[in-house]
Amino acid sequence: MKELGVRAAWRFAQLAALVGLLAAAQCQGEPSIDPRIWRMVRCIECRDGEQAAVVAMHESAIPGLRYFLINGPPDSTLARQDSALRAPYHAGGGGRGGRGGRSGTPGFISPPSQVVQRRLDDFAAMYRMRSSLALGLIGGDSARRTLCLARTKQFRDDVRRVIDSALVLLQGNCQ
Amino acid sequence: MSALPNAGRVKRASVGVVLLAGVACVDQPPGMLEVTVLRDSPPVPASGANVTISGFALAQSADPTGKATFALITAGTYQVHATLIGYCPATGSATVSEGATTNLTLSLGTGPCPTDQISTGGAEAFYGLVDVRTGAASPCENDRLVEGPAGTADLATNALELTAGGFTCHGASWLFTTDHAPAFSNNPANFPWTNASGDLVTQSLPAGQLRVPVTIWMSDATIDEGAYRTTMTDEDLPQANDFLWETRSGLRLTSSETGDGLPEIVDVGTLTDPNTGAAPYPLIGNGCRNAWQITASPVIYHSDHINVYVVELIDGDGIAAGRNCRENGAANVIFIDDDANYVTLVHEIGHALALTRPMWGHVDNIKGMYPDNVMWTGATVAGHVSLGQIVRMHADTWSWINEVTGAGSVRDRQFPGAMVTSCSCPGVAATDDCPQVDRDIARVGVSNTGITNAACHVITDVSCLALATGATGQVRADGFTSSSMTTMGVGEGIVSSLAPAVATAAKPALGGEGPGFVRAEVTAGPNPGNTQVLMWLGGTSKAVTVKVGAGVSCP
Repeated sequence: MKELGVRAAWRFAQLAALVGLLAAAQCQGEPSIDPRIWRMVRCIECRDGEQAAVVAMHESAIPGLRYFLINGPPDSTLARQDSALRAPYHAGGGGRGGRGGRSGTPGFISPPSQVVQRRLDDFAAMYRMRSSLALGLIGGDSARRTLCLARTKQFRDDVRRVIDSALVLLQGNCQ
Repeated sequence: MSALPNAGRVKRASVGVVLLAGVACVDQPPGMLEVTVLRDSPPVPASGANVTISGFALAQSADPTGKATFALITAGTYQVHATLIGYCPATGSATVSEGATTNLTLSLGTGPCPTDQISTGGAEAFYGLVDVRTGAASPCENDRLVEGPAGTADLATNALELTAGGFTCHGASWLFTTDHAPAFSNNPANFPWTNASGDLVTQSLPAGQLRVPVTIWMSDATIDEGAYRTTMTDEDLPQANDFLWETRSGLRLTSSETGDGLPEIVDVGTLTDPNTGAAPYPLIGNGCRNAWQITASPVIYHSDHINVYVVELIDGDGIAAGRNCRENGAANVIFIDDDANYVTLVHEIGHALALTRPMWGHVDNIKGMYPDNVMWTGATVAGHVSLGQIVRMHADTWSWINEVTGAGSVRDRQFPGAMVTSCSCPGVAATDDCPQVDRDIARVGVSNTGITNAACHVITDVSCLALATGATGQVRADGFTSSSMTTMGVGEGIVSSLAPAVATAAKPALGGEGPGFVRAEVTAGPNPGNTQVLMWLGGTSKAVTVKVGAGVSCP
């Protein structure tokens, strides 16, 4: 019970921070994005036609895709992910579960900040890469201009590679 | 006032708030619940009484005035339980309003207690699903949900003798704890309920969690080996085990069946393919279509482990975060994008452990499942698994830990004789030993309506296909909701060949898939041999034997 209490304390703090963050300003400036685009950026296996559904939206998908490509996930989504990733775990043997987890091994530790940050960056990169690919498949000048705008940003190499691939897909360039 | 609510409560509150924020700004403060527990007559404070809220993990201990306070409670109605050794438990209902404090008084009774109890014989908290006979008009009740916050649960009914008047009810229980695999028994002798109230039946817990051996293979030379290893070791694997512990899944990801160490992480770049002398990256490739050669290559595959291959991009539509290769006949082969976190890892392991039927186990299509279940199609946060899912992961015939890998299965080697059963598909019906997939503790949110025509039974137009080398043929599979084959069953159609070198299988570009069916175009290779083509609809499959060569024939 004591172990759960440690975690509860941490989550209490996280909740308080989240509530404050959300109540302050979080919803302002977050666009309403079509659920089909949300499904595509969130899917795990992505084999249930998520990408095809977005591509079938044609030009109407571009504003939402542009948002995700340029901005990444909304702040509230990132905050939730950050909260989940920072949850402390038991230092004894990795994960607090099982034999040893409740037998007096040292207390909880939080994942190192740089590790959490890496996973948050990965999370945002996934939104950007999927949006890029969908834009490439939709094609057209508006999609091309969005990809070219993204190309001017300081995104990670893996994201930039997918943006370039998407430009190839729509047979466009940024000249 | 106790400082904090329980862990599960806060987690769910947190999740609920943020979920809500996805569609609207949030400014409603949570409420507070103050419980006063009394004992004896005239009543005095029941100091030290254990107070819990249905569905949440941590108990509060009543203070010397008999009070236990839960803060940050999302508005709603809750069942509250109080227990104290030497007294009969008390249960009450409380409705919490936003921003307000709700008071509830519970009075513990003195023995003999009016209802029966089930216990682990220890003090570890548990959830239980118990099959009992009651005095109701339909006397056999399966999977009665109970909570034992301190090792003993009140059944809230008088369980009667299982056999009476020539009629026998099933006697069984599943008990779920953090530190042990689920305890199961269906031996009637273990449930000696009498017609009198006050029975206490004790079930023993397994020795520990079930260790699920996992090897992580870093399978792309472009991945930063050091950074990824640190992320896995410091974040993903501990968090995955933390989730499995907190949800009382009874599972733990380990390096072996005999030790609790974290799974081994292997840099494939340090290995050598004996056939090429180079690092075996090409054997692994980027997706499940390579499963057949992965499983044939001991240098990059452990048959008694779940093998997780980390790559930069997974083959297939979109940019998948993860894939389980059950569709290619290898449930213990998983591909993970290097950008994916522990949620994807747990999700894919869920697929390996029987969470695959119907609709590939994705709960957004399954009736009664709640948001934040880790098997959601687009799960980004691991919220929970249901008790029904936990039973399937351990005991279902579709769970990889019940597949024979060497001398017995992973589960049988750790818990000899553990019961294996065929759980129902689509899961909305319980069997004697396997609860409904949505049987669970209370969850926050609105449950799914699911779909009513998921494929749970698949037939094919042929059971065997004989082809000359280089020739092509077709197979069609049709889905039904059950083996009675009266209602068409739908699900994503996938076809695969277990030995693509002998013959490949692919959905035809036109007419390859439609509601309730899938087709495969089978193309024989240049050499004779045999393979099997798997025809899938929503996680249920039928295998077709394919024979290739001059003069081959099917029976």
